[in-house]
Amino acid sequence: MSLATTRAAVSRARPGLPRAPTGTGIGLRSCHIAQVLAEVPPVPFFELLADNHVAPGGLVRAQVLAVAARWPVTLHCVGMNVAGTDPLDLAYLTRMAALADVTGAAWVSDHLCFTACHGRQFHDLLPIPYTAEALIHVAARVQAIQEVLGRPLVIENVSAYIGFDASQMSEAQFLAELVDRTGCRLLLDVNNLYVNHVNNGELLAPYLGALPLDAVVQLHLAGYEDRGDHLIDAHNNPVSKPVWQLYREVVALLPQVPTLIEWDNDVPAFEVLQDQARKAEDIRRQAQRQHRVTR
Amino acid sequence: MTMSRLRECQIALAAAIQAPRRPPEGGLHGLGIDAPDVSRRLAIHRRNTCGACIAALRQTYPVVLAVVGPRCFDALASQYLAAYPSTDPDLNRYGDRFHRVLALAIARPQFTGLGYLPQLARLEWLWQLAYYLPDDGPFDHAGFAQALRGVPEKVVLTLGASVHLLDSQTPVHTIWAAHRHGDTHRTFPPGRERIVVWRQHNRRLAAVVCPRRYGLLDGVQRGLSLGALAATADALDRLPELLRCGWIGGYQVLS
Repeated sequence: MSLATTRAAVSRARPGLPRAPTGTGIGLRSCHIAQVLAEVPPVPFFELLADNHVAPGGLVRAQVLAVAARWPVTLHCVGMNVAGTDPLDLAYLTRMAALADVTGAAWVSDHLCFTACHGRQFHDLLPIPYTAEALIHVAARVQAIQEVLGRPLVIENVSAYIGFDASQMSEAQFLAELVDRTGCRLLLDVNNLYVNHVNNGELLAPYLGALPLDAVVQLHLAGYEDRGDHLIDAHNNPVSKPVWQLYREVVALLPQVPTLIEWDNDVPAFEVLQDQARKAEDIRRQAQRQHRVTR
Repeated sequence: MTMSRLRECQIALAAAIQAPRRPPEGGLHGLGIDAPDVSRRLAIHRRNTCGACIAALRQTYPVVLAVVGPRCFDALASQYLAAYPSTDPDLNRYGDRFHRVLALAIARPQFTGLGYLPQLARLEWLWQLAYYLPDDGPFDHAGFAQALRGVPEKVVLTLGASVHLLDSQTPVHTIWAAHRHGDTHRTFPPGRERIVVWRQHNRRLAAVVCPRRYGLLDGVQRGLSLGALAATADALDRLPELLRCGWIGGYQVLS
């Protein structure tokens, strides 16, 4: 299927206008969907792990539509292989575009990484060398993805455990160039930033200084796993104290940007996620008040 | 760096993750001054990759997991991952050939008495499929009634999108259902079971059916015409029941 054919097929049915998320949302996991639909908690928006919700029918589809009818949603992907060198998976992208259309998703995000090579899927976010040539390659792929999706792609920074000697720029500089060339938006994962700071010595101020903050449309917060001499971006714990502190610094720069709580492993009761979201929202509102005072 | 160099880097990292004993290639290095060595960092990605696939298999095959225990299951899952790496970003679609690994495993002494495992896995896979497959459109009863008034040899039924058949020489439905209800210590008398797995009104269902009904559904699956089905089974009499169960998804009138 050609890109143009795919795009035409996807664009035929666009139900509602996307609703922009505000405040602090929660990453909705399968184990909580029935509870959420029954109790209708006061959550400003949900982020759906799109890869888990692309089933064309049945209960999964019915639940996704029910959630999207009640709350603004965003879609978060892990399988686009944005920076990969295998051909783009048009079938996958078409499914995501259709899901975005049917849910009226405000945006679709994925990561600055590769996830497949030689046709093998790694189901992990693997880093790339940050080079000028890689930038050309990734920019072309982001533009192609955006064509299929019919909307800007939102790119998230990743936790990197491996680097390449060939890298010529930082991840933040690479993302800034990518935004400039493609018009994509950014999702700044504060936990990933902190994990890279501890594991790789990534300096926070230069990173934030290099990032085009006006392109950031969403923040992520999650909990890492402390392995003593390094951190794992495991999304299996509450947000840690130093990440809350970094979050305070980030929202001071981006007080209007919505935040999302992610928790993917050893997922606790939904109320625990709500507590985390309330804490993030308190910090965000404090930053907004401070922002108004200093203007 | 040329584009092929980017590709080389990705291939090197992919190879290093897949082959634990192979030294890293392509200029990989730890990013931080005090960072752990490269092999430890690769191990993080290796755990993530294997862990995601094994977790997906655990989710798809909960009864096989319960029967063999977590350690044995993870060993079998690792064998599966080595033989059949994931090629689809959607992990819900990973694991369709797990029964093949089990078919080899049951030859080993520690699997004595568990010869049903491959068929049990096939049932669990069909159960998984029933959850994710598309919905059927509404059945055109009026059009079908009209088609029945024509030549039955030209009418071909189709199974519902979520409907799958399993002809098992072992009582896997009984075993599967017992485990799902927490009854894990029963002994199960041998016996063939013909099973239908499907979804109706967003509920997954699995049932043992009689040989005649199974034969009819099998004929539908093989694309036999209504005329051919009627010649070998009481197809027309059973049609209303098959439609009511949601097993028939549609029909075609051949020209």
